[in-house]
Amino acid sequence: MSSSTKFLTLKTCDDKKFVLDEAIAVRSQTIKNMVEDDCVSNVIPLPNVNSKTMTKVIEYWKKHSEEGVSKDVLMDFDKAFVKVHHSILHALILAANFLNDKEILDMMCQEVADRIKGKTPEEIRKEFDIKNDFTPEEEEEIRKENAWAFE
Amino acid sequence: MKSATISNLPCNVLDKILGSLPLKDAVKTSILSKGWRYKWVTRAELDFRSEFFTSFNDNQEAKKIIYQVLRLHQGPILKFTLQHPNLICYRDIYNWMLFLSKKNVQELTLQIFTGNKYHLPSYLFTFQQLRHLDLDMCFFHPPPDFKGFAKLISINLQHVIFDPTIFRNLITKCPLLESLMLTRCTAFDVLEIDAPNLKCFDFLGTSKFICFKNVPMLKTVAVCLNQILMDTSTFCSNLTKFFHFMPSLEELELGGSSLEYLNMGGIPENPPAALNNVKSLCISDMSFRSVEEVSSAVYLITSCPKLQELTIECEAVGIVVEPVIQFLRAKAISCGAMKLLKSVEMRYFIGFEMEIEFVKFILASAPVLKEIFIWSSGQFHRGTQMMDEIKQFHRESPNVRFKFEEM
Repeated sequence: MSSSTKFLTLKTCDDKKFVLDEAIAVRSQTIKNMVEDDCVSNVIPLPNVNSKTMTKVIEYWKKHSEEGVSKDVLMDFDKAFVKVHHSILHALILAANFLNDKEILDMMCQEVADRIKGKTPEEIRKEFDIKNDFTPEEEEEIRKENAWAFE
Repeated sequence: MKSATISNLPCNVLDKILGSLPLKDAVKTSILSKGWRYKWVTRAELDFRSEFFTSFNDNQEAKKIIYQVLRLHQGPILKFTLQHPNLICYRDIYNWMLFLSKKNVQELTLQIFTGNKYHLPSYLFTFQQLRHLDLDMCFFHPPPDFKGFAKLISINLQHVIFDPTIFRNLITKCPLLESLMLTRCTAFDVLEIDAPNLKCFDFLGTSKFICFKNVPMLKTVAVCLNQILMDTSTFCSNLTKFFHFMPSLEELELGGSSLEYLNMGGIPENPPAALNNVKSLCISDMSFRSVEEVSSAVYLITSCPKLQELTIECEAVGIVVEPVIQFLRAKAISCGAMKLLKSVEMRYFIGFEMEIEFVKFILASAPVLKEIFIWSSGQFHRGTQMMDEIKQFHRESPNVRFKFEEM
């Protein structure tokens, strides 16, 4: 490791600290902006991200910063990375949105879209724990309104 | 605290998710819960392509759905695509454009093949947020008070009829234009390109005269002339006028009768300065039939001092034209002209004598050539024997990789 490597300390909302190579942390546009604007003192607080989610994000950042890793390996890694419960998906999307990491955000949104595509409403509700708060009459009305989409 | 479900994601994220779903799936989310009821209606991109139309029994049904979607839609529509081979009624297009005129459209694609060309509705010319415009098979007649598209970056017109005299005005009124593509549109008498921000120009069609008058940023040019319309008023070299002022040119592609056109009026002694930075040159429809055409190709190739990539699309000529052979042999001796040329691709190569002489000329003139890729869409003439012959030619570069392929 070269002596010029700079480290940043990130602090999640549950007070856990992560020490990270600056070159990796700046995959987050939000952190990059802070570094460039010289607003970084010792610790960068991440009030919207918990340590469990941050661990996942850092795992992704590190894998994608590794030298000499093949495209196939990364593809397999990404495939496994998105196969998580929807609550983790939700947390990762919020984190990626806050950290402004377009790569992770796009990948996660695509995963949500893939889980919706071609499924029946009932299947989608089950997948994402969405409570149906329509009365049967309301539901019938919506079905009629957009009948073409439900055929 | 809100529960961790995707229903609570921020709007920008939900828009992104719904935007990457096919329209049908996005609309279906309206039934998930009250929170999802109207989420899809702010979808910023509406895409009605052939796949959309073919998912219905007939066009009438598909059109009804487009009306319905537009009626329910809220907020801006940044990108609108309508692409269908047989949408008959232009009244529908008028209605939809009227609707879109209030939606701040930035990207508009209308590729409708009605059999008859239709007139673009006048309100389309008021779309002030347009950045990309892609039109096919229509009449493009801006109203007299047309103010231009102040934000337009790219325009792609195919089979579009317009009054050639408005063309210049159109370009002037689109000051940010970076990419201009014209494919089989109205024939021009004079096509003068004066566009300060233009980076890419692609023309397939007919014009008596082409001049790149003032295009300081133009980097990529592809010109394919369908036919040469003789203009007897040509006294000075077409080549000089064509390359009038394009100091940023890096990629040049010439096809159809373009070489023949550039040849008219004689070839100037000093090559145009516009060729000084060209890195990639492609000559399609290269006929080895006439000395004039081959000599102007050789002139262009040797007038690009920074040329790195050369592509030649051969047109099959079965007969042997002795003057062409003699010309290429003479050129092969005055070698070393292509100082930076690294790779050459010969497309639709058959292996006739003139094509082989041309390869010989290249090998003798390119001291740093790395690869020459020669392919045929059928079978090579005298296959193995021809390849062996080529490999035996004198070459200036010590390390040339030969690649032959019959596809």
